[in-house]
Amino acid sequence: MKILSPRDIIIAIVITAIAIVPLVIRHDHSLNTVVVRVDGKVVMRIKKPGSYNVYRNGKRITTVVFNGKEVRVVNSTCRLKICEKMGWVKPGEEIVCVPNHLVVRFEKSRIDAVTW
Amino acid sequence: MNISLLGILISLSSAIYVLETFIPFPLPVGRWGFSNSLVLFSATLSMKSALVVSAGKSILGSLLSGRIMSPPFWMGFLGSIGAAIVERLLYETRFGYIGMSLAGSAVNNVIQMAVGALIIKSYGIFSLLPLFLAIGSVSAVANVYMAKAYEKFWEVKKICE
Repeated sequence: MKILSPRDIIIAIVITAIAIVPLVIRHDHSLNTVVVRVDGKVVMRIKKPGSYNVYRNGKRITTVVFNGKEVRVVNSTCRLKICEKMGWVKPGEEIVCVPNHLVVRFEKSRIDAVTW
Repeated sequence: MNISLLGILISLSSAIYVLETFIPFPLPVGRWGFSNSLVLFSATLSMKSALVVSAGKSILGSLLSGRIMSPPFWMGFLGSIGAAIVERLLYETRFGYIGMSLAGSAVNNVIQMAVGALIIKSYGIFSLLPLFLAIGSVSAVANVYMAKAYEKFWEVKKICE
């Protein structure tokens, strides 16, 4: 069985393209609002720095900390704490907590979109 | 299908599945996926053995590491079955190890994220895909050389019989 056949190069090129293109074009400085989603629904839009508790079905699941530039989560109730280990996250990146059905990411502010 | 060979393949890959969690990984979530080298090798034997090895190593590996039936288990289980099918189909259409392994790891990552997106009901998780594809490609190439080594061992064993 051959390690490399000429056809494999096509697969290698396609996967490299998919992997590299978004990495190059991902930094967008117009993303200035932290949006917190639980179960796919927006539960919070954060613009001012501070700590905010996030609730799901009445129970606190995590705390989102925003320092004005980056965001992170602390004191999550999930078991593996992968979301906490993501650390501070910049615009264009995001925090996902699968056990708590939570997504935290930067998005464009709605107000900025209408004022220009 | 040789049942003793399948037993060896499943036990080896579950052992790698558990042990590779001790190898440092650059991202806070995820694993290298070196156990998929055995799925890659079994894809060169038959579709059935590829499916049995990929399902077996996910079930046994997550049973040993205590994450069975959790969301990460379903992501890994469905991902590795998808990868096994794609690898076997590429083998049948005469692709080499590198193509099979790269496509398998890419399909594995895409399926895992699709399952994750269904669980959290948000497609946001897909923004991590490029990073996972890049790291997955590194381990995919490593898996090729491991699969090649198993192949040599398998040939030696056949001669001994």
